[in-house]
Amino acid sequence: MTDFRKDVAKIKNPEKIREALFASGPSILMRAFEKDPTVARLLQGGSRVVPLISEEIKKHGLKLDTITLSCFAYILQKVDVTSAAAILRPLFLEAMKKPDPFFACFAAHALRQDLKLPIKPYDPEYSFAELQETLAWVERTPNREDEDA
Amino acid sequence: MPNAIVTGFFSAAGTPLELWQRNPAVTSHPSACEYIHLDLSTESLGLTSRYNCWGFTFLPRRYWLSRSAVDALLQDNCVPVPNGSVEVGDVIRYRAYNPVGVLETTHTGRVWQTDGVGHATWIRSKWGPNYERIHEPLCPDLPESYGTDLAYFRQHSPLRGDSAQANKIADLWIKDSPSDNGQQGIRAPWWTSPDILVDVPPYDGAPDLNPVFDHPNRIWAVVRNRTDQRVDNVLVRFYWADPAAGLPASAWNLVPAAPGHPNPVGPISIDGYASVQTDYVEWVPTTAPAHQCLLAIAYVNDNPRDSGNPDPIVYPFDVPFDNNIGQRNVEVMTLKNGSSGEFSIRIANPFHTPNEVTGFITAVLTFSPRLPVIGFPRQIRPLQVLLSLDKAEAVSLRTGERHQSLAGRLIPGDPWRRERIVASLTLPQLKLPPKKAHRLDVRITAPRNAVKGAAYYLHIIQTVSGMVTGGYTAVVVVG
Repeated sequence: MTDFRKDVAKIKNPEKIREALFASGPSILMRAFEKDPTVARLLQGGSRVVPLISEEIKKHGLKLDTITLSCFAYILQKVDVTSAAAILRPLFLEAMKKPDPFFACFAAHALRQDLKLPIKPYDPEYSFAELQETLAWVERTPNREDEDA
Repeated sequence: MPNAIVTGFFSAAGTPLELWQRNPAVTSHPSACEYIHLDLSTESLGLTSRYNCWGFTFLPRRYWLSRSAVDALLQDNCVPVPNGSVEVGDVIRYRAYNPVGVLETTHTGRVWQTDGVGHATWIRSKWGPNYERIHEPLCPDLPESYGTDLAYFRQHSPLRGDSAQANKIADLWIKDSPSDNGQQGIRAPWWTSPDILVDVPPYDGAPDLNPVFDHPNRIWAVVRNRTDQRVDNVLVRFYWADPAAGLPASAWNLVPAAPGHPNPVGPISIDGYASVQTDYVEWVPTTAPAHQCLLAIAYVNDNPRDSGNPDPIVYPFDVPFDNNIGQRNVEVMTLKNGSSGEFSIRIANPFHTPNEVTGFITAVLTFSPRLPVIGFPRQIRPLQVLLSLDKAEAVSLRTGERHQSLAGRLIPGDPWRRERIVASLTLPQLKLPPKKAHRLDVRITAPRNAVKGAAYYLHIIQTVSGMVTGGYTAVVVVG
């Protein structure tokens, strides 16, 4: 049986993600994720990996490497976009105070899909204006976790 | 250092460019390219998120550029170059198909070396947040995600800034040769800068042909700014070197400062799309050995990690690669019909590294009519040129052979100073150890029936691995 916890731990070191450290933008980073075997295994895990990634994000937040966070956002968005939006929302709000070209884009990609804003499925590269638009939408949309509570 | 969006940068067509200020930290890596400081100390450029491949290509080492910025710059500031016409300094673009079959720009770099007939052989690029490296265009370890769809571009314009602001973007430029257009790239003879000027005693403020020995010569430079924004705090350093084809950084000697004439000169301000003449430094050349090579570097600071530097030096001491740097390795001699002149130059290893290299020396004699607008005579009478390497038996330049393969590669088309190749010679392959120079003696004789007023150019060109790595030009005016 696949040990998803081990794979999640592996992603925490961006050097272990094939070609991730050669990417000059989020779109090329997505191509790296698409070809990485660890990422592929986690995607196959589907909803089973969501709590593991959520746990890491809640524990370490923006202290995780931006490529690791981008990879987590990519996996979450692929396996469960609603959960992805809920998990990434507080981190995205925080990240937008000092936006980064990788994680801010991957988080926005998931949040925009959840918010039914226009996205290009295979291109998570967003302009700063689009990131701000996403931020504005996120800020004025109630958090589902709050509603559920 | 917080991440932040940086604004105020535009393509040549005015498209706003998206730039990111990222963590400037650098981690050393043994394979990373090195930066040579002006004091000759070196530092590893290392691994850093401060700039990516696109930042390296278009805004060297300052910021992380977005893909949209690069696509805009390729569109607005560059023209495509067909494979077969690629030159050193051109931009290489990599693209790959995304999962829905759309080609995306994945990577860019600069052509570092060509095969001499228009194909890139080596590329200098930075791989994402990884380090800057020199590699073959399709090297075995090229990231698969970069793809194999390659195209080449020539950048004709620098980035623009907001002209109401200052000191965010500049492109300081000292001409490498009369036909230099400011673009990055090796276009020999790049050691014939018309922007480094000499006034000899009695001083009249007008440039003279050659420096004089044992007296103070006044040396100054013309420095241009190719962008639309004013730049302040520009410094210009002046160096002298023994006449040589191939000058390692260690052979550059800073002209000593004199009272009232510091070296570097400055700080000076240069408006957008403008040029200035710097103050002069005083230089007293001595006769042994002859000091006739002058060099100048225009810069704001020498810190390769400073994102705020409007025009960083990218390749210090590399005259053809960096348009902030100019070299005047020229001697002008007037010969009467039937008379001769002689000079000697050093042939040295041009690199900063302690390795022996092999290279070639080619001498090319060109002719320029007295009034180029009138055109060339039907028959050009060549000068007799004899070359002797390390006191060996002299050999003569050959006429009547096919020299056209040299044209264009070594002597660029120049509508204002048309040169036609009339004789040439390539000496046998030469070993160039790191700290030992060869001596090349040159004897030039003007034919008795040479056209008075005509000018001949003897370009002595050093090549290593097919790259022009140094040169010296003697201008002979028939008087």
